[in-house]
Amino acid sequence: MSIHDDGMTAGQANAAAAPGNAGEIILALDDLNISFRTMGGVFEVVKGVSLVLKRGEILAIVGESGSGKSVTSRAILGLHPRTARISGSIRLLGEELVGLDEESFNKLRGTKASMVFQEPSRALNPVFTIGSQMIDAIRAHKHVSRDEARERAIELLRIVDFPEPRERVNFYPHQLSGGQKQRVMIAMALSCDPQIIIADEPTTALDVTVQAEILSLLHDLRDRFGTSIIIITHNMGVVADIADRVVVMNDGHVVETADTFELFAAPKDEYTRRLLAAVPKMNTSEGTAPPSLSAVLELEDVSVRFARGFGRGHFLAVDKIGLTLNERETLAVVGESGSGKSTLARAVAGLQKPSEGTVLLRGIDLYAAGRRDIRRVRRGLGYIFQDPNGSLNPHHQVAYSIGAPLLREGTYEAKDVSARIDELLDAVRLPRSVRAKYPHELSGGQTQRVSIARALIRRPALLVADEPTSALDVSVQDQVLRLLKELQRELGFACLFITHDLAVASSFADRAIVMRRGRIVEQGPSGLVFGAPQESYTKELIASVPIADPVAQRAGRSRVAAGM
Amino acid sequence: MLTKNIGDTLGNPTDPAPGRAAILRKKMLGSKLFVIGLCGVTIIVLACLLGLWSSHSGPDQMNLAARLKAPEWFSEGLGGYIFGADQLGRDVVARVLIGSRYSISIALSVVLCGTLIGVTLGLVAGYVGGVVDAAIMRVVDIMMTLPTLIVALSFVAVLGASIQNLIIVLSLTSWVLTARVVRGSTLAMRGSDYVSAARVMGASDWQIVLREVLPNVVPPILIMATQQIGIILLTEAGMSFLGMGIPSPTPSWGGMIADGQAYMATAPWVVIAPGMALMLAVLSFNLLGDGLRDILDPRSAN
Repeated sequence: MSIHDDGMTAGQANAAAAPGNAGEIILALDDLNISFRTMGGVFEVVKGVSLVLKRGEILAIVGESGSGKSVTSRAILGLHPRTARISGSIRLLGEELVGLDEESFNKLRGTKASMVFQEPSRALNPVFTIGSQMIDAIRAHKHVSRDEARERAIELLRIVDFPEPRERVNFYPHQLSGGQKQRVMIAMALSCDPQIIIADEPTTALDVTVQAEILSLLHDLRDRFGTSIIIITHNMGVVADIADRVVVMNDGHVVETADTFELFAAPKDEYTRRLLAAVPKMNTSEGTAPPSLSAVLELEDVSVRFARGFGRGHFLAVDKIGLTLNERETLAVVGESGSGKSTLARAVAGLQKPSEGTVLLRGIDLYAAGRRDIRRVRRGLGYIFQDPNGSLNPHHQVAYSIGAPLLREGTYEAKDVSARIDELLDAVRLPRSVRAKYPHELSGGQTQRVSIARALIRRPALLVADEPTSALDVSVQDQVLRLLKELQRELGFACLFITHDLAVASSFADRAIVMRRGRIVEQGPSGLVFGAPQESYTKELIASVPIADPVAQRAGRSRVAAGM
Repeated sequence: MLTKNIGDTLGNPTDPAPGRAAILRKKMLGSKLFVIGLCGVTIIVLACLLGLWSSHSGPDQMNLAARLKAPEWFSEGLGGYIFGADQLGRDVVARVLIGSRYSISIALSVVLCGTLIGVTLGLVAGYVGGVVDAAIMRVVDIMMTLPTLIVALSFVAVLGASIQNLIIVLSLTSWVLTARVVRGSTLAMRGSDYVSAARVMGASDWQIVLREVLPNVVPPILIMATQQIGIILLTEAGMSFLGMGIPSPTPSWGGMIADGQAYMATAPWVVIAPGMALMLAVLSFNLLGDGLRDILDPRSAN
């Protein structure tokens, strides 16, 4: 089966089929500068970027937020914001793109280069079926009838291994899973035989097992059709998995360009080295379990049931979970989306009443205690949310956000609270000058530190952290995790750590629980769970995590391809 | 009050960042709509206060010799009939200026009462949810089906036309939109992480509503309230026009337009003056509302 069958024109077929001369340069950026003019002045976001993409190559552009990687790649398709000013050169198949008008870009989008976005559910229009969206995309560039376009759409869905394409072409986006939606996006990107696919963080919003599938799909497409792929990512594991060459960007500059194996083996630039060092490694050593102390948190057969909608019964988000967590101990709860791990965290924090079972915090039932007891119990509880921007009230200054839990108790003098706030700002390594700032004036990492400070101000016995670092850059994640660990050593709180990132869980937690569909699949010391998993689901999960080492990662990939 | 306290005691006095007031001032001057609206509203307020300035004659003082006198502009100085006289020889300018006092103060009282009712019910409905929410929202739905003007007219017809009655009836019909908007934002905020955070950290329901939810609904409330002033001004003018508003001889813009319409062909100024005043007042308050929308978002660039 090939991408260009069923009667497409000869020219189009040629473009896709002929691999051309492997190694031929099809895209070249030369001294590209992009700046934005705003009320606050001119901001240069891309500064003198030069790079080339060869035919049939997978090029990764890596960098943290603000590095200019997305703006650069969007400029290739003319998708930069209108306020952007571009200078330098972008040559695609010999054609200069800088200064091209919107109409010419429209002709080029889809046919020569196309794009796959990070969030497939936002890129697909919810009110049309995937089929009609694909047909529109095909007919935008090709003069074919709707029926022909539909056949082509089904064919494309088959190419991206979409299950039952003929039946599901009439599905609406909400009827598909995240991975399926991303497959549809890729099929759409392929619809007019582009020679380049630009994938902007294509797997960031997906679960690891799905990420692995999408990455092999991209890899496969390159092998079958000779399509060149630019993949923009912050995940070094993804880079190690599929990229041939890597461009590392920082603050608008290209700091290093190298072959993938070389880059991981011997990074030349200081920034690249720091970036690689910050990547969490899967830790499989047993470690020393902390001495058994008294239990802080006990869950007995906790179930949380949600109504599915009128007359459609219930589903169990959390299904009879029992666990204990001791002083000074960190317990990681890992699982994919829908596993019930966040619901569990909310139940522990007193935000979601369990349908059955008891949650005991220092021996007191969180949901059966009287009003006064509840306030007292909750005093021993801190909570860190995933979204650093959403968890702080935009109308309060940092000092208020941190200090409010103490002020509310009414037994502290403002002066003492103020001193305690300073203490905590020092502890989370924030300058005291942030006190009078509002959340929108802080970076993601800073906001998350404020959240940590707020969670710790009442010296909690238990800290619940729900994906505290998944919205942060790798280097910031590394800092925040170190900080948490240090604070834990100092303050001795127990930590319930919810995450989807197995590497983070393995290096951060003493014990781990793997959840799936509301149940515990496997539990034990984290070294054992991640080092010698017993259950097949855990094994699959671990195998899906791309390792930031191309040699090991590719060995793993070929093993999977050969054996399973 | 609590915020202020905390800002004072906890804010770092040596913080070099520009103060809130400075940022706010900069934003205000940056918004053309706000500046124009504010100028308009200031002029109107000044006009209310200076209402008696025009005055060789009071607003009720008749002078049959000057019936339907054409505008003299300033040919007779400030003592003349600058914008002409009406069918009873009363000075049009004096009546428009005095009329503004009644119109504006009625509009402000109505919006104040309506907003208080709307915010309270909206917060309660959005935060408590369940049966309470359903009950309040059904009342809102019913209110939405009633044509405001007709309800107000029948109310006044039964209880008699007076300024108090006018304020009561308009307040009782103007809270509906506010309640809806406040309920919507409250509902969205109830599920937000920072409300959850406050709850985990031991905040009571009262504290959550007053300290976490309310500050976030203030901007939309202010914007809506400002724009509602314009709507109420128009409704009041409409009722006065129909003779159900401010009772004669107290001057009101709507009443003046009603009285003057018989003479529109020969003495258009009798109608034009109050009409223009009404239009400028409504426009100014609406512009002010749009300007506030730009300014009050703490996330907007400063």
